[in-house]
Amino acid sequence: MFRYLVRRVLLSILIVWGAVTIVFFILRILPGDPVALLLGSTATEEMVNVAREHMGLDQPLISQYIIFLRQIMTGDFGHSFYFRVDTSSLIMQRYPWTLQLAFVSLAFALLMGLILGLVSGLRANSWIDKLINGLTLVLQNLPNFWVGLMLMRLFSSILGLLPTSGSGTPAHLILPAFSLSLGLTGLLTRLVRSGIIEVMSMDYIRTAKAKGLSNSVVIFRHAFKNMFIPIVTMIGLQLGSLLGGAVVTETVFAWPGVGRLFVDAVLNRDYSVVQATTVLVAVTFVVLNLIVDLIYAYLDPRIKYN
Amino acid sequence: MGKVWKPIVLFLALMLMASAVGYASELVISYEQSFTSLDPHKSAERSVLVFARNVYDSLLSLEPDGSFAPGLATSWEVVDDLTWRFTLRQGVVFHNGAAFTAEDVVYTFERFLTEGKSSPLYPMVEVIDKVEVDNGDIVITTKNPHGPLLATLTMVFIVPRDVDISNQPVGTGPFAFVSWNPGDELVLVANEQFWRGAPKVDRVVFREIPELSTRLAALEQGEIDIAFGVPAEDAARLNAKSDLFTINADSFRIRWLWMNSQSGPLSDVRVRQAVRYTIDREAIVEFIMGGLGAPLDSVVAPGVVGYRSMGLWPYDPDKAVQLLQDAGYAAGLTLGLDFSESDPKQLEIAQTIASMLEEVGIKVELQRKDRAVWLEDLLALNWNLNLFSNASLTGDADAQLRRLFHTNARRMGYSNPTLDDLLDKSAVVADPKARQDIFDQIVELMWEESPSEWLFVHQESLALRDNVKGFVFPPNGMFSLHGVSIE
Repeated sequence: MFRYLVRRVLLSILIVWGAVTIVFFILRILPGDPVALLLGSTATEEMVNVAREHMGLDQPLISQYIIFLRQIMTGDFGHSFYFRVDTSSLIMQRYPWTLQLAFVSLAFALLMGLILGLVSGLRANSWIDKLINGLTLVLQNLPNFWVGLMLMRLFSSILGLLPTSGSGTPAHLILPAFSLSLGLTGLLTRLVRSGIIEVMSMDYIRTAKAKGLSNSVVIFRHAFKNMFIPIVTMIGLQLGSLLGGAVVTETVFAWPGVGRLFVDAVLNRDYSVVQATTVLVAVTFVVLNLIVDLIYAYLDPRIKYN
Repeated sequence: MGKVWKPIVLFLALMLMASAVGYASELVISYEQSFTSLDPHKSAERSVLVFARNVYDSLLSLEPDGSFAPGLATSWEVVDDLTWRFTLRQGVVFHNGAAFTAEDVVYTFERFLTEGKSSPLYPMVEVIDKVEVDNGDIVITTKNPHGPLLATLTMVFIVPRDVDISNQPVGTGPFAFVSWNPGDELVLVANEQFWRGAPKVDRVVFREIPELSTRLAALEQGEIDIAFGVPAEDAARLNAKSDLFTINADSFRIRWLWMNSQSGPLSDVRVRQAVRYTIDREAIVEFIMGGLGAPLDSVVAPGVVGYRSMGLWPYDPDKAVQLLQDAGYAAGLTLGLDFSESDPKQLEIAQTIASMLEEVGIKVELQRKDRAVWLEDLLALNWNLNLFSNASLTGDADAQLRRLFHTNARRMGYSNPTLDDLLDKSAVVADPKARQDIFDQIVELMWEESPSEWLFVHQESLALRDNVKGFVFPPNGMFSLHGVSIE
């Protein structure tokens, strides 16, 4: 187990390095000059040269890359060209908001997905099953942007129950988290439904029922754990993308997460912010993958890592 | 049942009270642009200048009516062609408690002239040679006679020596900096010691709401007090609400269609003029801008020093066809039209211009670019037509015209020794009357030569809660919140 972990961590470092290297070079190959962007339409050639030198962009690409690697080894992600502040502190200011939004919308999705999935799986092909199926399909495929605005219209403008946008209190979190959770709810509902249908037809469930166990014990103790592997896999992947930032939801609700920061940074050729966000997202994915694999072993004792 | 409800009701009541307490008067503003930096010596973004105007002071300030008002300097005099003397205001303190002195002014200019080299404003201050203290006064010497010096000085915000303002902004302005979370919110608090008197609100919060419909919903719900960037389509609806009102303010911001005169068909003045004859400016202002603006009859906005009305350039497609024939393009030609989507109307305007030009046989290839790519190509003169908007910050034509149309600027690929001479002369003459005479010649020459098409001058539109009083939007966009109150 220990050797397995060491191997995974080493592999993870390699993955993060690969991701950030690709991003480093793609950014610099992309057309568009961060220096021009900083100086605007009235820049003179002398100003451009001074700024380029100041930003370290006059160096050959390879030495820029070496300097960059040396810096990130020490945890220094440089300075944002665009905001003129320290990149690490910029991202660390934003990341807690992304964490909040990601976990709360995951909780919403889990709650709704499990309930709806169980109800429809245990009553397969009934009218309620068909209703839930239809509903989740619709919710999942509605554009996030539109759903967000409609929820805002209903709960803020008409009912006056929740703030339209911004962050800071739990009330601010409800609308963005809910609108972000809808897609995931649809996915989960269908996974739980097919999982429960499959598991309920297994021999050991029939045995458990034959022993005279109550329905809830059969479902929650015997069926649940065995249908969870595909669900855990999906949660791992989806949580990864939630933690990478939810650009549309963040934009609609003026939520200060890393998603919007990242997109703006790409548009503004704010190299250090794009690179730092890439590292953050890559690390998040790698860690989540590792956790998912460890949970597999817990859920299914037949899985062993050596 | 009563036992269960009591604590819940009490809790809710407490929550309500807690949300009602807070600050006695807090002004929440959603500006249309992101705050990109808080350093007034390193950026010329409109948002940064708005921040600077409220946290810092300059030696003198440009008033909404175009006059100069005393700021940290109480009076000034011209000593000779190159030298100006400024008497400083006594008893002013910075937000950190330090007294404002002449040394701070000297330090400010030193900082701007060294660290500010990457600022878009640098070319304006470059003319300053020396800033010295003399008997408590400030003496500014310029490298050559400089007419628009006072206008330039309104853009130089005075910072304290011994403080690194790039991390912790400290000024003498009406509001002091509290906190900034880039992309989210910027918080200021009233400076009770402000030399013009304490501001009327205790706290100002700039909240960033990128999505327009969210910004307007937040305004309607009373979460924010002022929303910027309201399109004409929404203004009427908001105005109809009893608790809101909108302001359409005249501005110095103009929308141009630049023409690259360096190469290609547009190096021929007849083709440039043909383009201008083809554009129906009034239709653009009315149908795309919803009336938020006016067709432009000069090379700078009305109200800017140097403005002279030339009457609108006629809309005459037949004349355009004739000019194109004379220039040898009877069979038509193709031009690229570059733009970045700096605001929501940009695409519509570009498409409309393209269809107008198409009617006289000019085929237009729309080049919609990321701002970064657009700017890179702009500076490299890698374009034919370019749609752009910007404002005169100083209210003086010099800053805009010399940096765009002088041969040295190389921005439009336009080069005309006569214009260069006139522009150089306009900068060194100090007498306002003599300067206007020169500008009259400049405007006339440029109008005829058409290195650009001047489409229209913008009106800025914003919506406010009706309890917000005293908000004034100056034409250069750098509004002060000093006189704003909430009733």
